[in-house]
Amino acid sequence: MTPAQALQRIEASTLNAVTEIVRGRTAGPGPLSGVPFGAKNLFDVAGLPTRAGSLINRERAPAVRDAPVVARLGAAGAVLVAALNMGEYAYDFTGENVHDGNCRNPHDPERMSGGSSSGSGAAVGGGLVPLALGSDTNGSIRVPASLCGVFGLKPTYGRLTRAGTFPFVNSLDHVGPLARDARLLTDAYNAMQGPDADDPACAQRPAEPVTEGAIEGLRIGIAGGFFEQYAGPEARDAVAVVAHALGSTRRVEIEAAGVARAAAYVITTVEGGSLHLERLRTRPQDFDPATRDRLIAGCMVPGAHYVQAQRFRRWYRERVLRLFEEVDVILAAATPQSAPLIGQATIELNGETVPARATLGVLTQPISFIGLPVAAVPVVRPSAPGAMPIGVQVIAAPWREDVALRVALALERMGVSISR
Amino acid sequence: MGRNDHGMNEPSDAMIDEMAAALRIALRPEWRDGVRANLVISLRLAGVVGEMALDDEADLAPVFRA
Repeated sequence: MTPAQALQRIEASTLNAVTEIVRGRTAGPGPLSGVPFGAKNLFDVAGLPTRAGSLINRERAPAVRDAPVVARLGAAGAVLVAALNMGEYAYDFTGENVHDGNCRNPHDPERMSGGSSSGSGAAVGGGLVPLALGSDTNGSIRVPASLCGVFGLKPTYGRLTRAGTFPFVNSLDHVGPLARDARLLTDAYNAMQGPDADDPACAQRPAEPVTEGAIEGLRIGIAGGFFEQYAGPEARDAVAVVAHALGSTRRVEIEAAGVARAAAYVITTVEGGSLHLERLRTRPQDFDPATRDRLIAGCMVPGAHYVQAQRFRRWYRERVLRLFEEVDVILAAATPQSAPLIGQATIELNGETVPARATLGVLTQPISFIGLPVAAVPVVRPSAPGAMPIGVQVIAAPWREDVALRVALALERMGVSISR
Repeated sequence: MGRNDHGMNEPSDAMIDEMAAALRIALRPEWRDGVRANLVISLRLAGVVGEMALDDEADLAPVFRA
């Protein structure tokens, strides 16, 4: 797809995935030469205010330069064509946005795209662009990738610079790509690596480019317990398809995953509330009411609870890292089910009625909580041809994006993972 | 004020109003129920985390380096 073709498709689209069209950028040489891409509208784009899905931020001065990861994709030859819709201030798993309108699922416009990188998932899944940038604090790349049927990569915490992006939760924020295919996902990731002094969390590691490689000999486990409890029938089937293709029958238990999800929730609401406190004082009426209520509540959580969550985080990290002495990869569903209807408040999960909004991220939160790299892969389910998409998380040890991506590339070669 | 399954206090109207005042947030009465619903979830989940017995020496995940 050329940038001109992408712009034509964007103009004709009714998905509400794009908030601003970017014109006039041209392709340079490089591994991504001529690849059109979009960026979630929390990435700085020179000439645009970085709105982060909000009404308030539209009054910001236009960014004077692109965020470093946007610039690095441009330096590799890719062409930015759009800023993309997202949940307000990234506090969202649904793709709903009262300011810019709900982002629609490309496979059924009545259904959620997932969030908060809603436009990124919908634009790639809907064929508007083959590549998009998103961010992931608790699942915001992996959830829309799953619901929109595309590949997504949440790298290790600290791998890709977040400079020039509007923050949400500094302890948990990551950025990464979503793509139509695993090769492009890998190439985009490779182009964005490298240290950056402007993001204090960005590791001082040189780029470690990932190449296609064999996966024979990898020890692959299937997450049990919590991850099965919160996986509905479609999600369990998707994990089973991937595990079968990889020849894995081994179960692994991630101890205290439910506590990790709870701790991620607490850290998120407290840091998010703190970030927005001044805006909550001066302009509370300009927030989406649902975001406002969550952020105000976050400001009211006692500090002792936040500190306990951060202390637990270290404990949990040490426990999970021990698992990687036994396996190289852990498989888990990316979402409990395929896309719910837009506006749907609850979902049925294993006989229980649970809130849709929070539950969509329940399987991703315990993983990003300790910054593990994850490739979210779309799964072709032979038992359900034509069904709404759903994805699986391919989880690796810290700094081993190469392992997760090689598995994603292999699954694509096998025809098990293909974008919809 | 009531207690949830984890023994956490569920905030009353007065408590929410006082916390909002301490934060200098001009909370409208019609927002109170939404804030409380979210706070109850956060406190319940904080209770889950609080039940994990950690050593006194357990450091926070982020460690400051000068």
